[in-house]
Amino acid sequence: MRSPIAALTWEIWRRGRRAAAAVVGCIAFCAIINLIVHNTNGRPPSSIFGFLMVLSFAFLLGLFNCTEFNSTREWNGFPYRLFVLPVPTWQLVAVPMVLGLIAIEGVYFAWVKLVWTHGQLDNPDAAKATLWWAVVLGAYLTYYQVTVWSLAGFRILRSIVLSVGGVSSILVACLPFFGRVLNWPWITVEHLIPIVLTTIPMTFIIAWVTVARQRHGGGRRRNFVKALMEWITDRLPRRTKKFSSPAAAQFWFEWRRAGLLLPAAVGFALFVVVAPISWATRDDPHFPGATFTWIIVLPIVLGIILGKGFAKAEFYSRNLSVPTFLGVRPISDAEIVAAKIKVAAVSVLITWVMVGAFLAAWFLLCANTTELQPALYEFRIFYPHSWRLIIALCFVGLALLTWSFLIGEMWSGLSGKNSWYFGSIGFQVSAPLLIMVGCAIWSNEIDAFAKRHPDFLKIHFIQITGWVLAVLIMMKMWLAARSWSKVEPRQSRRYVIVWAAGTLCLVGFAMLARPPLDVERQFHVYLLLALLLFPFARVGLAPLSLNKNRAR
Amino acid sequence: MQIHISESEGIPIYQQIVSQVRYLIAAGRLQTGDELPPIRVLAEQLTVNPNTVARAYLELEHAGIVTKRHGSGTYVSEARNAVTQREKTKILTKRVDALLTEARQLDVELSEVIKLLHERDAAMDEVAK
Amino acid sequence: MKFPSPSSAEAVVSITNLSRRFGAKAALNDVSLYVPRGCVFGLVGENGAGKTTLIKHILGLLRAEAGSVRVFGLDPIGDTVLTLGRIGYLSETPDLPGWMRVDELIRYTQAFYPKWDAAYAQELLTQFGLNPTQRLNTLSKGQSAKAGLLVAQAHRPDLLLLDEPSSGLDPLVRRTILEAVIRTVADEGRTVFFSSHLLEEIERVSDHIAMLHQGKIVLCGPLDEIKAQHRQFTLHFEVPPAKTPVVAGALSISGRGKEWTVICNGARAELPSVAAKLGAQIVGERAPSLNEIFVAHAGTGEIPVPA
Repeated sequence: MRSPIAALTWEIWRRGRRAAAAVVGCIAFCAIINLIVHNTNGRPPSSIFGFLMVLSFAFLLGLFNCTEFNSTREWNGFPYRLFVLPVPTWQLVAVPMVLGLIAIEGVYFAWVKLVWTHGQLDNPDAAKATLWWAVVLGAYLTYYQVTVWSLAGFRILRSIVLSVGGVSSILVACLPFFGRVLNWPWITVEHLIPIVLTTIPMTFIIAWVTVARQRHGGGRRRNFVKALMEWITDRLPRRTKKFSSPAAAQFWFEWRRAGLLLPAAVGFALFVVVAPISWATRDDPHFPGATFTWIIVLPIVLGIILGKGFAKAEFYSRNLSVPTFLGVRPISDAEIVAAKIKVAAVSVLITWVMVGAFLAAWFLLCANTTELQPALYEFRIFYPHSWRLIIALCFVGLALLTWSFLIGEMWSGLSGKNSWYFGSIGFQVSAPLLIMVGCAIWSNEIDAFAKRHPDFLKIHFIQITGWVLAVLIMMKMWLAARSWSKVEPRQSRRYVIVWAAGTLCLVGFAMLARPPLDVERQFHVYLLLALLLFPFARVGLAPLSLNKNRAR
Repeated sequence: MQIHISESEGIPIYQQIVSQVRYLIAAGRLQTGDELPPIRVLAEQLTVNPNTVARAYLELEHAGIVTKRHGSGTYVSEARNAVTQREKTKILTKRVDALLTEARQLDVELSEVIKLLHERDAAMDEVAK
Repeated sequence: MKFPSPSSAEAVVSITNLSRRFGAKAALNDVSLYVPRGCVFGLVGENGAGKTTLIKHILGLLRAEAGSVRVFGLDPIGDTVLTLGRIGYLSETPDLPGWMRVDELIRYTQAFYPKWDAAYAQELLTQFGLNPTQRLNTLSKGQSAKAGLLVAQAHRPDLLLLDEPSSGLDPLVRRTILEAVIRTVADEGRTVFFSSHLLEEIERVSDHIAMLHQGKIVLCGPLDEIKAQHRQFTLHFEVPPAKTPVVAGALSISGRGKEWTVICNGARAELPSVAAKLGAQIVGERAPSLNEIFVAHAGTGEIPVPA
């Protein structure tokens, strides 16, 4: 290493050589395909090229990310260890930026010259467009770097800015196109290129100033939300009585960690977002219907998301192993799981009571229910005696659903194995995604099929669903019997009672709410669904998973 | 009771305690009837294992230097006068042995050692005046 | 007052033929040791020797792959609540939840231990000088250690388990921890097990020690016996040996020129003849400190003297 700059360059290269190899690989792969296609006069697969091009730019972003975890400040920012080197700050900042610019321009022109050679870029406008895209790419790389470095202490703000910036990059890149289509004469490539070019030195200066401040001891890491929460919890009256049992102490522990998250999030959404909008649109008859659905769905979606955190031994950590502090407590695994379940239950109860109260206040006070009245009227006609009970059971069912999502992932999260946890989440995310993609791709075929067999849906589909559900229920019972037999009997009995009560509610709901004209015999499907819903086997597996994690 | 323990000397800790208690008694800083601190208190003060202190106290008791009274603690015993004399001789004997060993290794004659003792004694008298 | 001596009949911790691998590395290799009741047991070893692994087995945080671990006669994994309820643990790395305050930590931990002595906890709180309303993540390292020590001690555990408690702490806090050790064992029947590589501390407070080297036990027994068995001799050679002399029965040998120092474990009787055969004379003999014994066992036996 002859000079500091050479050393810094070498370090960036060394850390990111896999990403660099991936980028080169993408380009090479597409160039070869392009060559083959060109020789055989076929149609180049533009979508694959586009996807790989975006992927290669993503790898480049990762290469020139240049952040490291700083344990004293507890953030991911400009590498702190570089600050003790005898190198001025502007050089430290310039090296990744300049190298990034060179690299991204190089990669872009490689793509242009090697891959997109099929006459898409033959007109003079295309040359200017190529230049424009190059400039935009370079500028956005520098914006990315400066955001990641300067907002190191503000994690949430940084994520928001990055996502907004990412979206805006597409919009900005397409500005000349909009300019041409919408006839804005001043938005042309000739005007925009110099503007964007001048922002690059400005970002360099901003990065220089902020990194210099971080180097010399500045750089705020004050998380205002957290400080506010701490101030509030310090002022609130605290319980000073002793805990009556280890279970109570563990409940308090779990509650303090994550108990109020769901109610707080739902409350925020309801009272800060929906309430003002609903007041503003209180005369609009279309508004209540759609919003009602969204309000009901919101806690469930949040429950799914928060459930992935509840599943872990420590809510806020990415590490799945049991923290030693908890592992050394003289408390059994089943008790720890029980505490989590109870906290989830109380959390869900508060949330749904809040939702119920909000809905009642909203509908009674200021919602325009002209569209909903007929539906309600019909409803009351179909179920003249039990409609109140049905509404109540419906709320109970939704609460149980939310609760089941909160605690449903514990068997994988508490196991401590990344493969189980992330595998399970990956499956839950990708399976619906794949189904949706499949439906989108074969939507024509599905429509045609449905037209040809109009009764299929009504007869066979329901039968098949019924059988599938029955098999699932048998598997669930078998798994539940196996897992709960290994947990201590007292806890098993308590949970079986809870399960029975919950399932009874759901079955009662299914029976009361059966469609009055059940031509297709859907009722048994609903009944089977009611039996399947309440988490039984998954919860039984959780103490065993925790045991494996706690004593490795 | 000021006792200093050093674990790097190679001398067992209980022996250091025993020697230092004996020295304190011989020097008059511990009088007859004075109470030695309870075992756990001394152990905490010196940050050594209470068993070590217990062993030291046991040895002192066997040597007759201290007596244990049921329930009320350990006290310096009456027979210290004879003990003191014996003790003083023992301490000095050890020093003399070390001096003589050193002198032999350095190949110095006994008469020279005695002459040196006289000289140093005279020098100390000078300083004391 | 006769101090209760450790009773050998009832071992608080008995580890028999314990082995544990992490990947290819054998962290513990056929380890057996017994901690008598009422003693202070010091576990010595260099970094990476397996001390923390051993302690985690005692706490039931690791399963015994081979061999068995019994704490109070029970299996720590099978009888989690019964064993952990009588153990107080202070770890090397502060693992206290940062979001808790000191008073919340005390209140939370109190619920788990029926033998918790609230007055004693309060006394320790004032003695350690901890502010009850302060959050744990704003405490310094020494204060964190003291907070951990408070909740480990306050329920008067039958076994106080300390994993390198003094690492990185200032002398005042180290002294506090040692005093806690003494106070624990001074109570009838309570045991202390602590691992450290600060040998001065081990030497002062331990009754029994064990030394782990690369996952194996190289020394185990009462401290007095071990110290009595090891002797350090100084050998004087008339003719300086060309290379390091090989002294049969010696653990380690170091030196240069005419004077060489040898540490032996129990080979005292044979040494004069061995030395005479090599052409050397024993000119000095003393009891080595635990530090020197440890280095002799753990090192390669030959300490290179800088040129």
